[in-house]
Amino acid sequence: MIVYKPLDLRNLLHFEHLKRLIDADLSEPYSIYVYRYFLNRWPELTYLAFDDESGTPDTPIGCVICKSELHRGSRMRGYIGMLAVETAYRGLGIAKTLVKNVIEKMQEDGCDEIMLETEVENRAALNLYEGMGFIRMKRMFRYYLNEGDAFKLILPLTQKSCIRTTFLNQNDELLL
Amino acid sequence: MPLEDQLEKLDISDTSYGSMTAEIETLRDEDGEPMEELVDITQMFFDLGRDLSPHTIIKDPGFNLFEGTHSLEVNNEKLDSSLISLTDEERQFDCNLAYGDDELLRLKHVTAIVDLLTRFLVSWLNEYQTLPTTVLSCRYVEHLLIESSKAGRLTYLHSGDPLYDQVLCDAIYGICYFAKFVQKLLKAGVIFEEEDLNFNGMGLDFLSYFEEQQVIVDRLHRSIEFVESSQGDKGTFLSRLLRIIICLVKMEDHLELYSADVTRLDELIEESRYLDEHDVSQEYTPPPGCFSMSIQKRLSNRFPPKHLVVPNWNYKGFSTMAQDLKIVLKVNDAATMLEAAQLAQYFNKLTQRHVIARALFPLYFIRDDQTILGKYSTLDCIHMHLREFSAMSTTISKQSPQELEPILQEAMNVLFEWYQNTAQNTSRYRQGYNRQLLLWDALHAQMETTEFELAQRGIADQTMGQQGRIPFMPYSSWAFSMKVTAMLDYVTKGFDLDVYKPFESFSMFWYAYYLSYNLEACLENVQQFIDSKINSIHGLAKKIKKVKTIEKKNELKAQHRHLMDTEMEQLRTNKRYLSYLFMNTAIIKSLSLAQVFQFSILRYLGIIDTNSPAKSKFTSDRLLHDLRFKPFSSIGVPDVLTYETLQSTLREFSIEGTMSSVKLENARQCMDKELQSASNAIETIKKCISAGDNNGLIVTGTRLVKEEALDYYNHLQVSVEAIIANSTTISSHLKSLKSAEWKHRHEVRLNVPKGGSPFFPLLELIEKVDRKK
Repeated sequence: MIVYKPLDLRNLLHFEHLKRLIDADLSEPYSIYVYRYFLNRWPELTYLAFDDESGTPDTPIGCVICKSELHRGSRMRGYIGMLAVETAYRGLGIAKTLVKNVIEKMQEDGCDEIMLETEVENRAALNLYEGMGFIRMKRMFRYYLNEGDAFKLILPLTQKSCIRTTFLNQNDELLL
Repeated sequence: MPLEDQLEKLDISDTSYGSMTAEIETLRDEDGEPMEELVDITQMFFDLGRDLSPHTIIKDPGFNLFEGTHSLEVNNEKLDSSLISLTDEERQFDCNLAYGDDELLRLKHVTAIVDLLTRFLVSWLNEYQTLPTTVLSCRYVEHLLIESSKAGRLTYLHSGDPLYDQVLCDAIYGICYFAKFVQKLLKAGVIFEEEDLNFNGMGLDFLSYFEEQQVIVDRLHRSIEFVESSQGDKGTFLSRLLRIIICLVKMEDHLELYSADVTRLDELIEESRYLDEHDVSQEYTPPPGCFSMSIQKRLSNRFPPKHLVVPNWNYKGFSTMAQDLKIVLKVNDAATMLEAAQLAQYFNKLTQRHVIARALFPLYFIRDDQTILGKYSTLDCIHMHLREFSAMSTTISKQSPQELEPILQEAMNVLFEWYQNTAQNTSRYRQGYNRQLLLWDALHAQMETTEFELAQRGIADQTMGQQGRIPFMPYSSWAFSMKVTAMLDYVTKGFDLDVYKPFESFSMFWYAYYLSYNLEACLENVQQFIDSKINSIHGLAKKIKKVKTIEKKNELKAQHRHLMDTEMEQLRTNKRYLSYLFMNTAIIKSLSLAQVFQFSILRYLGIIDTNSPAKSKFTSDRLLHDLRFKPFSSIGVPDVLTYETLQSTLREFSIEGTMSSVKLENARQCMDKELQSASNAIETIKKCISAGDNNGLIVTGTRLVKEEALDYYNHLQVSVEAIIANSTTISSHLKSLKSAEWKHRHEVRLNVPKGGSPFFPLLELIEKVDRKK
């Protein structure tokens, strides 16, 4: 059975496995700083998946790494930074559950929207996120180091997500 | 930055870091004198470290995630360029050795080096590669740039062979001089670093100390003469390469001297064609170790290691560059602002132009001396734009009151941004419009307020509406038409970039229809005003006949002549230009409406809906709609398409319920009618573009971009035909489509047919793909 747990920041072994999972999967090589940037500041927004029936039940076979911050001083934006599932475990809905878990957490925390970028050619990722309600907001030319374009996807959780930042800030000023 | 300052910048204000109590001890040399460069921070490091909370990240406040994703990591082979391993040849390469045992081999080596460097330029500029993996991977380039920079002048190799010491050096300096021009274009801020162009110069100085283009050109000519006289036919390929480099060196004249002379560009096309037809890549090879990743290992490098590019036989790339530059330079011949604007509108619309051409266009159009094309002031420019659309013969433009000046200046700023945006890459083009919507909207509101205030003081124009005379605001009409056109461009560009999913196409096409409808209404107002002005001048001629006194007759005659001489021609031109705008808007309106009907038919068949097919508990269809229409949410006029309006529009187009077969037939007929009308308008516009603006019917202003404009309308015509064929296919499946099984197995995709317009993709039926497989 696949079990899902939030990250335990003290478990260095998990950190190493998680880094290996991502490194093997993503086109962008990330430095240790990028991992630490996410994990140390938002450990509660990283979820790991484990196969407790395998010979290595303590080795993560999937992970999602996120952050959430006030965006341009006007709305809380959750951001899905990295998502990876080991090849042998793909097609079992693990990525979807990981993303669902972390969105639930970010929604509980008061996020107004969730944002991410994905490669235009990554059909699997687009199907996953669009199947969860994300829509493509813009295309970014040659966004990745591998020279591919990217889509910026957003999932609106509250009405604040649908108002231009300039006007959100103006409304806040009026309320003051 | 001194280390102390860097340390001060570190984010140590957080109490979790503890306080900085350690003293910074400056290192001293053997004589006890302070060493300026080095500071011993060992003690401070351990002191600070002792107070750190576990799991705390130490960073500069300005170091964000973006910086983080660009950060490097020691001992990580993907991120540490010091781990690059080199061959013996690379390690031992000596730039002052003439490689090659005999003269022929030395010629072959030098030819191969120049050939590779020249093709690397195409890889760099046309294929978006980086400098360290192309031009800067050449040891000679690195060596000469370093040595020359030290000397503050061009220095040469000392191998003892003129092929290396003179010809190769001249070629390299030519290439570097061209790179310096590219760097200047990039610094001008039109195009985006990393996105449109990479200029990672590895900290090398690209001839900033050397401005004499003529010296570089003269030396290249000297080398051509030397190669031709000393090598005969064997040197032909090399001398052709040197000719290409001269053309590249001269390219800066288009920016520095605003030259519109295309002789060198034609030569570049000619030379690149010759080289393209003579693939000698197997014949010539560079000396081993000459091209290497070693620069990434040795010099200042803030990027991860990257393998060298293996360029194709890509000389055609220079031809693309030159052809695109030639299109841009045609703006120099713009007789009117309409022609300039139409060039901007079409040159980069369907095909993304070469980065050099895109970067040059706004800089060539809007010059350093704040003039437009070196001929007009910015105020002249905005007045011309206004006169060529709606402001001709208006009271406001004749009186030109003072309070208009700041608004016209603002209008010029927005217009400049529009011009600059037309040169952006295909994705930035849409993002630019996202920002422009706000600017045009604000300008529209400002102009409307000012024109209203001026009208109160009697500075006003009127036109005949259906209910008698109504106020006419020429400036706000212009701003409104620019705004709605920008909105339409933004909406339809989303289809081109594959931003919308099929379920969103109803709302986006409906909104495009609605915007076109609003634009038409604005154009009608302008047309009525122009008609009334033309009629009034004609009326003056009739009045002359009726007037009895000679004195009055002469006065009216003079007035009539003056108006005929100064206003009539422009008014007639504007009227014919408006006819073009009507047709162009009608095409978008009809195509959008046809797509709305097509969607309604597919919706009736149960294959698509305006609701997201996603089953999400996190969001709602209303939120998704509002997010999609967020860019328009603040626009005052025209109204944004609200979720409620969308739902009621959908009901109006619904084929469900009673009389569905009649409604279906009506929908198909309406679709056919709209497509036929679009097709007729496209044909008329195409004929008029081909015939030129003296065709007597409409003015398109596309004289300078005839080919590009025709291409745009040809693509639209293909789309019209494809939508008709697609509709027929769907109709032929109608019976089976209503079956539950068929519905279950099929879905709709947005697809651009071959040669079709990317702005109006087909709503095509396809079999569902089982994504689990």
